[in-house]
Amino acid sequence: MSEDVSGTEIPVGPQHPSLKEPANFTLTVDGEVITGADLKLSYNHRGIEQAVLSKSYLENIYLLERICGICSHAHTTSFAIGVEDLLDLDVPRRANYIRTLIGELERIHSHMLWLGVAGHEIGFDTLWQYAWRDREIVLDLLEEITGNRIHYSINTIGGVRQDLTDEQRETVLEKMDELEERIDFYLETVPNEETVRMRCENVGTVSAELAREYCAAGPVGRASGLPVDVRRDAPYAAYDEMDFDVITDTAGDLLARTTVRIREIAESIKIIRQAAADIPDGDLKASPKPVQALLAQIPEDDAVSRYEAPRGELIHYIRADGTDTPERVHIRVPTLANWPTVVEALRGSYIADTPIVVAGIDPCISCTSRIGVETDGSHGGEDSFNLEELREYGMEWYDERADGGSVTGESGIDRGDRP
Amino acid sequence: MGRIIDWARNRSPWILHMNCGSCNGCDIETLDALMPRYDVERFGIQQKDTPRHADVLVATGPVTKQMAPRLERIYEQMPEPKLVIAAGSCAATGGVFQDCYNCHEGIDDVIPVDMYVPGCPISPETLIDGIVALLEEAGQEAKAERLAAAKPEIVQGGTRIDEAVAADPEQQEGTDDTEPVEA
Amino acid sequence: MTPSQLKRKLDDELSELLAASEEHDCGRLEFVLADRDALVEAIETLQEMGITHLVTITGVDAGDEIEVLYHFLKYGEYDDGDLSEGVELTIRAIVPKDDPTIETLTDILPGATLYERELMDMLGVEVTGHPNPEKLLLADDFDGGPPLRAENLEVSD
Repeated sequence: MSEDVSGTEIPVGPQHPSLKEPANFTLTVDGEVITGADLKLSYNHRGIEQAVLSKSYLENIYLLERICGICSHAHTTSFAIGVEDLLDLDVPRRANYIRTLIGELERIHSHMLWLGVAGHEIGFDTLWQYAWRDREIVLDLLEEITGNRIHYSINTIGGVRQDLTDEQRETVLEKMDELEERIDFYLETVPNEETVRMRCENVGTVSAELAREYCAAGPVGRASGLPVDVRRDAPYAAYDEMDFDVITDTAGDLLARTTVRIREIAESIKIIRQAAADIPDGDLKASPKPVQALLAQIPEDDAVSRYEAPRGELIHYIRADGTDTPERVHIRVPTLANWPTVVEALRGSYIADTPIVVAGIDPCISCTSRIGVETDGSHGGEDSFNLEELREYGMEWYDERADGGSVTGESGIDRGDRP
Repeated sequence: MGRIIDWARNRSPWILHMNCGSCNGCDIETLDALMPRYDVERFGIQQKDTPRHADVLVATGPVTKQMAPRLERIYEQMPEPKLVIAAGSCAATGGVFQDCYNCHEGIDDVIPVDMYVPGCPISPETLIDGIVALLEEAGQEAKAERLAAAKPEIVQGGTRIDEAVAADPEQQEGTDDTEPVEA
Repeated sequence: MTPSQLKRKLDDELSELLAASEEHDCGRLEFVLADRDALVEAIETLQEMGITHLVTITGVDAGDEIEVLYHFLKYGEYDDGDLSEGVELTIRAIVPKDDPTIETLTDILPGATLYERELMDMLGVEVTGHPNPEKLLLADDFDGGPPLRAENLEVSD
């Protein structure tokens, strides 16, 4: 990812005061413009792919759930589906509907979390407060249905562990009405809000061609026009019975990534309503036999399982060796797929854009690892910009611009061009 | 509620939050405590961004090997008196990552911890509870030290200072401590 | 295009390069390369057929050799909110342990860059020609062997 570029080097990280995770970037700059970026992702590496090998498939559900606190259901569902594939288990429709319902609730909570974080990155703290307050609607629902706000542990091999009561179904439908009003509000106001336009329109643009070359996933890919959504290109759980649109955009800039996510929340509400209203009766598990008994019959074979996590395409590769512990589990999280587009998006952007461009892929850094910026001091401040200082730098820089400062950077690169 | 307001009057803790390799669950719940529903800012609890202004470090995660030296450095940069809260199962014991090659077994493997907040993840309420309990405890000790410095004869082996003070009304005059916080 | 149709086409286009091919029950296709040196040519063929999305690269320690799996997706058709099913496929290359090298795909497929670095870190496969073979996940001063090689696994029972 690094090249021989001349210019000042600016390292960033690894303690991010307001976002949640540790990482490291080195930016090469020419004046205010970034000409290159280098990633350092190892701060959150825990060694999970080794740890899973000494645990049974069932125990691994609880470990893999904790790869990420934001998309934990994505990991357990994907893993469970892989194992069910190996065991040739037929998950009952009711269980699939519940998986779908929880999965979409998770998508909403994740996108709203992101909306707040993105607001914070551009100095729009009001949006942060609103988005996280409204997110509580979803967390309350998850707590009511599964017993926990985070780490729902609803999956087991062969199905789900808990049922959805009729009362909970009613509550879900009620709350979706409430949430829909809020989302309509965000849809109307956020893309038209001045701060958002200034900080996000034509910023961090990734063309469709670049997104394709770097195999971007999820809302990032879709915002650049890529036709990817695992819920449609390889339907799992109950998605083949759900009616919803795959949201794409063509601009590929941060504004597009924002609107794609907000519109996806609206689609999730649609899916949740269908799942809650039409959930069929039936069993919750593929087999009444205990999981350990089922695992005793696992063949020597491998399985690939893909899932549309909130951040994008997630893949679990599982190789079984006939014992109840796996031989190999490989997980590629969507954020890893999208890091290269961040690097490309930073190239040609202004230093002031770094926090929002990075946040634009909704980095799940515990899924990958984390960001900070150091500088040589030529941009004011001390030797090391932590991300908070960079964010403030960004806000000041844009405030000056809004007061009639120059639009183009010192190297004369203007917003619309890509080097 | 009265108890929170009481200690907030005595001291408003500034919190530094640090993720040492966690899955994020505890971190988003920590941040959630600042959000409208729980809104601890009205009690003076604020999140700070640099260790130099922080009273309390809230650390999450089992501590990956790469983060350990950074955690130490942050701890060193915090001025005294400083308190450390290990938030979550991973921060307490390593949690589900106990046997991972790249992880320590919790925050106390690297720096001293004053309070453990349980949960996987924690909830905002348990964190606030933990902060309050910690500050009370620390507050009590600080209060005891202050009183002991002022009147050495009040310190009795094993007796809580405020009980000792309350038992002797004559000695209570002249001290200007606020009402004791309800346990 | 159904998986079976795609398989027939690819069996044809890649016939000289393959040792085996299979269609799994779930519709996922798998192609085993006869020789790892055929990798770049095989992927170029995929790209000419419009298959450009590399999902990830998985390395598996299989005893005397390391299997390197390249998971691809052929996009579905997108039309105004509607997306049709795609096809999942895996290209499998075998790399002997006594000479664990494989050529980089980054010249024709920039998206492979981080996955190849992960492969190098975790399985100790040398990806020749990679533009930035720095450690991705492991600490710079990590002194153990590649963590996912069988000999380095600390698997407790």
